[in-house]
Amino acid sequence: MSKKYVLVVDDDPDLVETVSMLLESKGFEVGKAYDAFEAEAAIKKRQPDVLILDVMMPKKSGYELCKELKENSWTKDIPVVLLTAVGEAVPTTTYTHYEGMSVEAEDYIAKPVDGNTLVEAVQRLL
Amino acid sequence: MTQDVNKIRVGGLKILEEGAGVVSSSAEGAQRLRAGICSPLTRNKINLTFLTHVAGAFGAEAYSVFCTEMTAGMTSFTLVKSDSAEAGRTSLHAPVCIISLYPHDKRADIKGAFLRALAQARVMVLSLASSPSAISAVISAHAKKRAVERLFSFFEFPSYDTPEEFYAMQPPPEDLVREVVAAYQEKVIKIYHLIELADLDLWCVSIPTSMVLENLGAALMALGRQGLRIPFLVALPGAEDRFVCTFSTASERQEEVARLLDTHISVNSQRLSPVAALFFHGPHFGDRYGIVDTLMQALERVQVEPLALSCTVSSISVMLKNENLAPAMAELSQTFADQSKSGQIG
Repeated sequence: MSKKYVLVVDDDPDLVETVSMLLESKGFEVGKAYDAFEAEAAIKKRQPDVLILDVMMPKKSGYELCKELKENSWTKDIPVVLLTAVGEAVPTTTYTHYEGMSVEAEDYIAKPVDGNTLVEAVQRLL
Repeated sequence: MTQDVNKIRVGGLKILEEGAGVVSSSAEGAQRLRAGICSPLTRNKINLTFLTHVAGAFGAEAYSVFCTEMTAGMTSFTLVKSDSAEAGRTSLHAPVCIISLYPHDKRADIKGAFLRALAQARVMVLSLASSPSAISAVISAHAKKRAVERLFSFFEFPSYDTPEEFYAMQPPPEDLVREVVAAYQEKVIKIYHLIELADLDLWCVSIPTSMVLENLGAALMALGRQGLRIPFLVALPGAEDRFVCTFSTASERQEEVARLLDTHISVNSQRLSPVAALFFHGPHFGDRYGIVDTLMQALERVQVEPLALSCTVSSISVMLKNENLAPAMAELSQTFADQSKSGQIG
């Protein structure tokens, strides 16, 4: 049986490395992208079984990319897990829960990411 | 000389601008790093955007380089200078920027090509460091443009084909400020992972400053062609206009490493073995103060002195003697809240 493919998108390369190691250790095949544009190109090449997407990225946020994917009939069924530092700890950020709730992501995980929570979220969406 | 053929495809490039760099040397080693640099900066809530440290290689002084935001540069320099009771060397460099290329996948050839690109751009480097994903250089802000241009002749990136496209994708300064505002403090610092790698060799070479980029770059590219992985790399100014460079490799490859260093650098190298590497990565490690100070205090409690250390991107990398790994891990596990424990990363 082929491995499930998860695409991890974050502008923090060390975080991408960490999450990739975690998912690979759980038997997933992992793709990496470091901004929303690279993620779009990667998705065109191969649709992921799950997309893990950071919210705060330069030029195009994870919210924007998620919204575009959900509005496109080719990509709307890709399950998206948004990684967000948006929450009580960071009230000064411009990214809001309100904005996040208007985006139809399948799941939200607050940073710092708990390893088990992330793996469970991915497995739940497959 | 150009390098347009056989470009290496990597993920991306990051530039942290508007920085100040401080170079410091001392005979006091890790004690000086903790008490003379990390703790005073933490007390003044000054974040380190970059740090490299090499302790007493060749029986010499310990060397450190750190960066802060430009606005904190003079304060940091004054704090470190005034704290120094001995006749150490401390100098301030501004404006600087930190260029990071990622991911290197521990490949020596990617690190080597990065250095050669900077060498061909005639860039003076204040310090070099690697994180688990990235290789970073602190350079004069005035050299940024030509450094980026030359990097595009060695590497290709999925999201930008030219320097102009790269610059167009950079967030405006107000967004960077907003990211920094998204920092917070915790009673117990959370980390995404704490990974250990044991039974490594730690190499140290002292290279004339004028040769450091080109020759070290050539040596690393040669190591890369042999399939050698380099999980840790730091370079910073040493004594007498020379650079001190330390890096780690797998112990079983020591003869190849020694031969290639001799061929490309032609200097006496020093090898310490067995050593271990610890890699920390955590949320907002790049923009919160006090994290490396907490680490240094923890190591001091168990009387472990790091051989070399770096903080760049959002990770801290520490080299220790193998025999110090167990006590260090025990103490660090008590000091930090490791989010990956249940997820068993690594």
